[in-house]
Amino acid sequence: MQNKIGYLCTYVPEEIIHAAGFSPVRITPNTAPPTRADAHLQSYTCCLARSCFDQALAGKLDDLAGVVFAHTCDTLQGLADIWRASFPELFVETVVGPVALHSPHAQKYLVAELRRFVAALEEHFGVCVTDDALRASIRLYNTRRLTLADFYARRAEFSAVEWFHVMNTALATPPQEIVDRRPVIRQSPTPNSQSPISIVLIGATIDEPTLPQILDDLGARIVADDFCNGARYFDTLVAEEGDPIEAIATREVTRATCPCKHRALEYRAERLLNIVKDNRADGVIFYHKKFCDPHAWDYPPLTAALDGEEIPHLLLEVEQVAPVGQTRVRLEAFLEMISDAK
Amino acid sequence: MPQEFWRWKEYNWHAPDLVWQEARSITAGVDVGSVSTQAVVMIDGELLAYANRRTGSSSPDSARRAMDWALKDTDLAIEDIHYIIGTGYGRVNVPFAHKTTTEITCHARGANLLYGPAVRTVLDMGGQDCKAIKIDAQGRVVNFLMNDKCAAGTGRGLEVIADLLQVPIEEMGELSLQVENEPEPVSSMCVVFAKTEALGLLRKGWKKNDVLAAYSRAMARRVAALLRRIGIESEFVITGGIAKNVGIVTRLEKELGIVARKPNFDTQIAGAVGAALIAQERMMKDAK
Amino acid sequence: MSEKRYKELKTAPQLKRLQEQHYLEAKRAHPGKPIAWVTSGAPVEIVRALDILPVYPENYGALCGVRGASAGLCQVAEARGYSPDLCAYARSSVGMMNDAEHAPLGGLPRPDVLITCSNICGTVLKWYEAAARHYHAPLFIVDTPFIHADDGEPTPHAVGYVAAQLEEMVAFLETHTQRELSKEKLVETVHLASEAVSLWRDVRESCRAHPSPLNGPDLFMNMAPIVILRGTEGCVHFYRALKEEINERVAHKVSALPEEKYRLLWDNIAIWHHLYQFYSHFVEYGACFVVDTYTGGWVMKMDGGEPIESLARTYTQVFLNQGLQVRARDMADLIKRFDVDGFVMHSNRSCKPYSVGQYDIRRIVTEQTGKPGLMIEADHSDPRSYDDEAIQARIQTFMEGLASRPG
Repeated sequence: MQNKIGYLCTYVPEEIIHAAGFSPVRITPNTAPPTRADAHLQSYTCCLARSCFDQALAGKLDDLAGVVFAHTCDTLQGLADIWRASFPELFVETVVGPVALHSPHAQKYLVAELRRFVAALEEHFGVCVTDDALRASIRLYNTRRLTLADFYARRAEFSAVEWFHVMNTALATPPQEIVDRRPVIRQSPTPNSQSPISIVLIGATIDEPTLPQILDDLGARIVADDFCNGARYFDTLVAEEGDPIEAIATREVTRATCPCKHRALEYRAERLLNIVKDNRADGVIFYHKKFCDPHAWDYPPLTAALDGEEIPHLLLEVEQVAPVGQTRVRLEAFLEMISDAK
Repeated sequence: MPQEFWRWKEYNWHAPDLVWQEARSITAGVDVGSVSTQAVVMIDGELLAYANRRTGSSSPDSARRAMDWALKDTDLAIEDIHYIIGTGYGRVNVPFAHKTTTEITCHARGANLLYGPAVRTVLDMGGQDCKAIKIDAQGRVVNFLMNDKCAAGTGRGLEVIADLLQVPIEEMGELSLQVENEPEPVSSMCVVFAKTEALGLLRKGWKKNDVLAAYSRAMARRVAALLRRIGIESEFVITGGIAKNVGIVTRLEKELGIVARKPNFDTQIAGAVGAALIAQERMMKDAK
Repeated sequence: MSEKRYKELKTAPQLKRLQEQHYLEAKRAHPGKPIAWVTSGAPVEIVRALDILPVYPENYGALCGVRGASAGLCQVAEARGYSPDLCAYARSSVGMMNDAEHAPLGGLPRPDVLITCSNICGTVLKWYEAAARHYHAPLFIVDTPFIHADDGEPTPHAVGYVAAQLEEMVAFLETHTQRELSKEKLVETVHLASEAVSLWRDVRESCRAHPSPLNGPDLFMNMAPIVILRGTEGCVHFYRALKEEINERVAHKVSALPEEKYRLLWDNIAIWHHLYQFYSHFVEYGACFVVDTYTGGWVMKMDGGEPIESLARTYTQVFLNQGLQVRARDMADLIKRFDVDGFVMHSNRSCKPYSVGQYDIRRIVTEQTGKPGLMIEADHSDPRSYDDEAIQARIQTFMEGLASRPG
């Protein structure tokens, strides 16, 4: 049984952690209101930061040999050091990746930063991360990505809740288990609803099933998503030839971005429009966590792009758990609106 | 018994001469809100009767009581009604409804009938939430925004203040306008803290009307922000109970620089009217 | 109110003139001189050396806060879908972009280029993206990787990355403004910046005197030139004059306060919208803010090496680009050197990079120095969440606590 190392953001290079002999698992917020985290994090930080750290403070993450951060937003940037201050013996590292992904120097910098991270792992745990181990881990993770992509291609056969559970479980499961145990993606899927209303979901992460449950109840179909722990997770494979660290860096710099990174001014808007059009979706639901600045910043330009194409959209701003009544009435009204217009 | 300042009058109404026996469609809408419940009965798209009652602890009971009151002075029985739609916060708990539709869609349709097809922006200030709805000439929803995170712009919020200041809720609006100088709005974003702030002002010697004015202004501001986000387009109308509060309406108009069309009907029934209309549409559609 | 008790500096008119001139110059720049919007932590020396006029939307945000214009402009931004939880400087700026008519000074002049440097926060990346979309102006991003290391030193590859970006930035500016950078001019500009920073350091250090010649608001007001005029001769002249005046005050034991009973440290950005009112609550108790972490942010390390590499190092190491462990250490150091009795931290809703970690810093600093800390919740620009009564009560409790301490 391998030791686990936790991470919060999917920009963390799982292959490197895996090649070092650990099982990378995503730490996810749960639905218990934080009690201890408030002594370290202000109320105006997102529930993801507060819930994950609260679990650590409550001793729920004691089986982790370490926690790895990737540079994303200001809150998680601060949380990395707060975590280290509370757990001085724990391996807490941040892979400070580039933000300016369009810069011709970003890749070179990231390669050096990844090598530094490798050295930090090796030093702390007394292990050696070989190129062969890296290549093996890369192959494993690519298989995982392909498996998830296959599942996605068949999402019309699944309910939204099933989709949610598969994605959520996947990131908490060591990759070889997903590859070995295909049954995690059921062989005999339950057919999805016959509703004609198809929705694209977009946001940072989705960590609890209230929204998918309501969509299933209302008979709407999720045809695509742009979530960190959704479609963006398995976007783009790592090259299996050449220097493995370079290959991992290349993937990070080229794969679909979240708002914390800059590629081009209209990149995310264009991507969203393509996702909607390619999937012939009827509408877009923005699923934002309260106090998530990067996604809140992208909301005006993304909605402007959707308005330009007369694509209806809805914003749900949630804290730890989407409130059922309030979420439901909005979704119902949104679907009624789309229905009436058809 | 001490006066309950937050309590408003329940009522019912019916069209004196409308004959329902030859009607093609007899439909009804029941809007079960958190504070009040309305039932509306329509004959071929014309108002036959309606009632407005306080919502009790049981939504099914509230729905039934409102419906009974609406039908009370008519010779119509609930069994005679062809299609009933439940809407509002308690919409899934209207046991005799055939279908449910959200109050957003219903207010849009209701405003379109009651105010006319020129309406483009509807503001519904209800019992515990506040909605801004953009509609087209047919009363279909084009866009909407809700504020249900706090009591600002809601009936519940007003009830708290009415009780605190010992002012009958139906007089709040008028009294809030009887001030010499318009005070600054209360700064607290939350009605719980606004209560503390209001008490503080009274202690400082503020008159009741001035506190009412300050609170009304704060409410108007928060509601205005919601409307600005969705973009206000003429004609602008207000539905829901708070449309009757002239203090808030006046301040809202001033804040936004646009005048709301004044109703010549009871604004609280807009949701149920819309529901009854949608019931008629569904009936016609199903019949095809 | 503290107005009567506030001791105005002789250099105050000079300060006022400098700022007015800056905004006037900005208004008149077009069409002759290109304008760059730059973030407060951007390597502006390159911009100045190219004779491009830098304009500072953050400084403008502070101005909006002081003038009480912030709430109105934020409303304009919120009406366009910008969340009210975003930084108030940025929201005011977006509001100004869309409603310049109702903004102070009629708004800022449109940028020909935009330079954003991530060393202060992640918000400036998104803010400047929004500005770039609005004005269709070219945007350059200086990506300065965050320093988590306890020693506060950037990694060599981070410095290399930033240096490479600065070379690119030169090329970008040259292209978009049809100007060519002279190496000599850059060296000269960096020298002027370094001199001003050195003088500003001296001014701040003189507050170690008992009594302190300056109070918090003085520091906030007088830091403006180091931010917006860094690299110019005018900036150096101003700080020379200010330093002279402060030295005089120290020599004659002139106190900023009528009577200095307590010496405090301030952490985070100033509360612009209630600047004098807020600090007057402390003046009531004879408490003077002799030092702060915010204005100290422009006491940068400038190591005088090859200019591009030196700038890369300087701007990667600004204090907001460093982890809480370094900031706690620096704060403890300031407390010791300035003989501070207690510290006040502004938990600033609008500024997550500055505020997240404050609870831990407070604990560490009290542990290390034995001095108590007070936490105040507010916003640097948006007055809508400011509760003066509640804040006064907390200040009272804190000051009573200080009064009851032995020694």
